[in-house]
Amino acid sequence: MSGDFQATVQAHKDRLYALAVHLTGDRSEAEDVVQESFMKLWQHRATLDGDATLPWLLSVARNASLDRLRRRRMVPVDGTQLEARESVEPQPDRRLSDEEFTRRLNRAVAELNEPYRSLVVMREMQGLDYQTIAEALALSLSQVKVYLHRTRRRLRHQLSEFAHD
Amino acid sequence: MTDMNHIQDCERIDELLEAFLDGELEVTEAMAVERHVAGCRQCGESLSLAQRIRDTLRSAGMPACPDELTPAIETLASRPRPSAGNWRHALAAGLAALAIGAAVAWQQPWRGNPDPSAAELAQARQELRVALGYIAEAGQLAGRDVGTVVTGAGMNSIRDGLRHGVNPRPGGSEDQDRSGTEGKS
Amino acid sequence: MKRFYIPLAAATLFLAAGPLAAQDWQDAVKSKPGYVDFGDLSKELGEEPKVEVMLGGPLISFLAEASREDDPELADMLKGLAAVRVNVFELKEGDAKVARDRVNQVAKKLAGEHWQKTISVNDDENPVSMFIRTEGDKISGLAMMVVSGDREAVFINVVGDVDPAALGKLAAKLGVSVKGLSLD
Repeated sequence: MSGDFQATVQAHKDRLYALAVHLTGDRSEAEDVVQESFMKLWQHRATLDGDATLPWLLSVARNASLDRLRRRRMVPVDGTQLEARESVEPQPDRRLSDEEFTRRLNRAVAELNEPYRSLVVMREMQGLDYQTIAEALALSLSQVKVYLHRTRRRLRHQLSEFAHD
Repeated sequence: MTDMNHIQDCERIDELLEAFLDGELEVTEAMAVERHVAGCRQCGESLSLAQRIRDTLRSAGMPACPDELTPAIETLASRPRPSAGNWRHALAAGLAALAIGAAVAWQQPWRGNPDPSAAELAQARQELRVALGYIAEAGQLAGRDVGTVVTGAGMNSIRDGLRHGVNPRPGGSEDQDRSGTEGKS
Repeated sequence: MKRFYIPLAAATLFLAAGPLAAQDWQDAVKSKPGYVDFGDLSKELGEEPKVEVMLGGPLISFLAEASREDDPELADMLKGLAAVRVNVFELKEGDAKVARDRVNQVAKKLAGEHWQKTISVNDDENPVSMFIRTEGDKISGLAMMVVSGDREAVFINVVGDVDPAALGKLAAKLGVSVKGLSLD
């Protein structure tokens, strides 16, 4: 097996895994997505051009994640829902904690439509450059920036109660 | 400044806060935002919130891919490819078929397959070029161009033959084998 | 915390996009008259193909439309196609015979199935053959098989309304040089 392939797996697996976790919300689905993506990479290895590998992998992983979401026509059973269900004790001084803020923010991100959610995950959480994101999501550079700003603004409006903290 | 102007200013500034944070604004616009925010408590709070959101997202940390996945990927890659779809899909579909589920509402509206991304199209284009390369090479190894062998007397005579319900021998080919096919009319 | 889901009753709901949809179009291609089953040579050779191209389904139509402006000839050729498949196997010591036997086997099968041979280099060492399948006076498929020296075996299948002249021309024009194709 090619050393190049192994190197590519090492270089990108964490990134793909993180993207898949953020999109599917499920770690074992994310593992499947990563395996599937690298399987595809293996099959296409002869024809992929080096620079295009990362955006291509991201695109494959993203589509695989979104497919799983669509196919998952299920609702979580009560009591074991999102980790968010862990009830947060109301703080005695009614000051909302960082944990609460993070939790709410994560939920707001999870509820975003595509491609806005992928945008936020790729840019803000993974720190990918605009060009890579543009290629992976089939957007222009300016669209990436505009959509990103609009999406964060939307998140800000949704979390407006925290503005006075 | 009237209240109306101020509100309109706040609306305009509100739209620019994220771009301002990212340093994407023109100098004059950025200065306008700074000036306004210095004198407007509400917009100042909005800016802080925008910053907090960005910082929180950025410090989210990347969950690391489990180590045991890497050898698994490498093993998969070195085995002959399984048939389309992998066993997990078959398993999931099977379980679903067996499930005695209560009727459950759709979680999300059905959406068709997303259009291929630029990356996928570029990859497909590259693959096509590789495929065409092999087609050209195969023709060369046979000592002739793929196009000419079938556009020359060869193909035309096949076409004519077919129209007349006769199965001709491919012309221009070194092949003397009869393919023994039936003519179609 | 692991989530537990109540799956929806009908398995038909899993007829969705993604890998299963990929399977749908691949199944559809397999049922077309121009499709050739070369068999699973990777099993016999004990390794996977070094090049595996399987273009089809919606991607090929997207490619066609995306090429419309820059290369209308390519767009026209692609439009009629259901799939472009290429498998290239690198041959190790002793593999060449296995590959040649397979080529002869498939050639025999095609000959009995309304395919017409249009090129044949009847070189026992290096068979090269090309077949065309027709339905009426339209071409519904093209197949090429090459065993090149003892180095590699190439299996090509273009499924759909193929224009061989256009294909040959575009192959010469756009095909990447595969002689020096290094992979590892």
